[in-house]
Amino acid sequence: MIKFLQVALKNLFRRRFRTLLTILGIAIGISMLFSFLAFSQGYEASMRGELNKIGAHMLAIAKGCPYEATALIMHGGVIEDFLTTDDVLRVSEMPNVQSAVGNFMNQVVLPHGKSVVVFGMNEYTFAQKPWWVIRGERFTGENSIILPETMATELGLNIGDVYRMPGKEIDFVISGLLEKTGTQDDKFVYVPFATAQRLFNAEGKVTSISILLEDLGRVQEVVDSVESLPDVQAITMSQVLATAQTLMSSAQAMINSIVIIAVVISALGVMNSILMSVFERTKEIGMMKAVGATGSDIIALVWIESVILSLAGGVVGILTSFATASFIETFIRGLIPFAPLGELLAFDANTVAISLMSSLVLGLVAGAYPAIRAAELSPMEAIRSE
Amino acid sequence: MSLIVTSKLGKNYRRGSETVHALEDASLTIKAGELLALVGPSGSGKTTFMNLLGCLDTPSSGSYLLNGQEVAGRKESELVKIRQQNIGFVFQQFFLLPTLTVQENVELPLLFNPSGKSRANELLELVGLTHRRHHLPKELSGGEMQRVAVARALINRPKILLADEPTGNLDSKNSEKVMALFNDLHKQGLTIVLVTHNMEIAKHSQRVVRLADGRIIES
Repeated sequence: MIKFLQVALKNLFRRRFRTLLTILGIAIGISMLFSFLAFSQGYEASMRGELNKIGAHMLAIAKGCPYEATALIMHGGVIEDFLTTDDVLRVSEMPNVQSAVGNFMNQVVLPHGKSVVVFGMNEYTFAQKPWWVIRGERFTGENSIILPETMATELGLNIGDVYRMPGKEIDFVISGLLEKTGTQDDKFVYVPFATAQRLFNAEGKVTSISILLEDLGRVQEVVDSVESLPDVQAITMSQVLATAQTLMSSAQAMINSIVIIAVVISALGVMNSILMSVFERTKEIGMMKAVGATGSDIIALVWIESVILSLAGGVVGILTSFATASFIETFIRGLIPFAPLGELLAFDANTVAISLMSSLVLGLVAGAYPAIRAAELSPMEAIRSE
Repeated sequence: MSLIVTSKLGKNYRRGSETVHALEDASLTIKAGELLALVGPSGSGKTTFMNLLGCLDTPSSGSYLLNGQEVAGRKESELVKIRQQNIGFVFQQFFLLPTLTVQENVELPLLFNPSGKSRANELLELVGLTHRRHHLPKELSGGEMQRVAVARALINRPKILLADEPTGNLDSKNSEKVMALFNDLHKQGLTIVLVTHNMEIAKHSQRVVRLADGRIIES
């Protein structure tokens, strides 16, 4: 004997093309929702991962704006004020400090708002980037330089070639190439530590100090001692994370609204499609009521159709997200201010479940109005309608 | 035994500020087992009368006893059950679901009446379409489609078969086949009400009820 599900499925197959388009519409919405959920999960995890990769529990910088500090830590923005190598020494001698490493970075500002960001590198700072792969050698002399591979390709340069630093007009010999990391590291240039200091007339100065602690339970103690040094500010990794998240919030709001709009549009698509199919079947629905269908039978039939559509769309959307994850990553990286290293999208069973539930709810909500309209049709009027 | 007793049944519609009396003072008694034709020109009120008899519509005035039970004033949710238990419908345009096979179409009313038993085999045999049971409606002739519709109307063992211009979309040969089917059903004791403006069809009936201008003029 025939069942409601069969009747609903057969009806959806009757208008294959429309059904397909509606499913695609929902798939887009649910795919965006799913990717967004995966992103929310993945972002924090990879942010923490990235902060761990900094290889420090805490940073000391010259007193300044905390946003700048975060930008600096994450991706090498520039603070004009320096700390001294004496500060590095003092910090390293503080109780509970396991090690303190001075970092140096600065930028050469060029006309038209462009700039070259220069990092000073030594064995300690290289140790903070264990995932780097360098072709050639690190440095062969004080005027050697490491360029990111992508930049070198753009400039048509290779290992052994001369790189004339714009703005400074000083020649460097390329000793190594940094293989593509997919992060902001691909946009900077790297010279020996002392060379960098000299380049910016900052001998004996550092831009920040990476601090490793012996006992993480005594963070506050170290923060207090670091901040007792004149004009020095301590930033813990949890502060960095919090600041990054604050900076993220506007990007997050934008992504939120894109997702909401996409889901609403797909809900309207389902509603429109089901409404059309109800209107087209006015006479059939009238006949069904004449042969004994109650209002709730008709609601069930229409609702089953919209739930099938939206669940199918949900499944297609989720599969699409899996298939296009790398594209979505690139897209999101372009939208947000801080893209940490590693996978931005974390897919798990929970995300899948939430997305499927959302498509179910979407189907129920979008199907409600057409279902009620159909149920309210009077059998006589429906049969008679032209 | 009187299966249907209507007294002074009336139906008014509002059209703008005007009230249209589609049916007035219709009093009619139909005995179980009758084959009756409701005839009249369009606008005579015969369709309105049939909708009231079929419990598809509610009267504005008067009383309607179906199998001894007062139907006037019932809500749609009650009327559904009354229709399911008492009335089988056959429409001029067949109204088969194009996506379902012949057998599924015959069984469709059971979708809404899960306690009902399928006797589709028996009914398909009766209407002579057993060999077409797995076909879709689009593969059938008009006459075959109407016979499927008749089988569907009978699945819940109704007391009355209401047929609205059942041959209106059929050629004369198919019309005769369908009318022959109605005659068979009548001989088996089913009460049948035909609504038609075709006097040839009306001649098949043992009784003709004429309507004009919303009133019964001959019964």
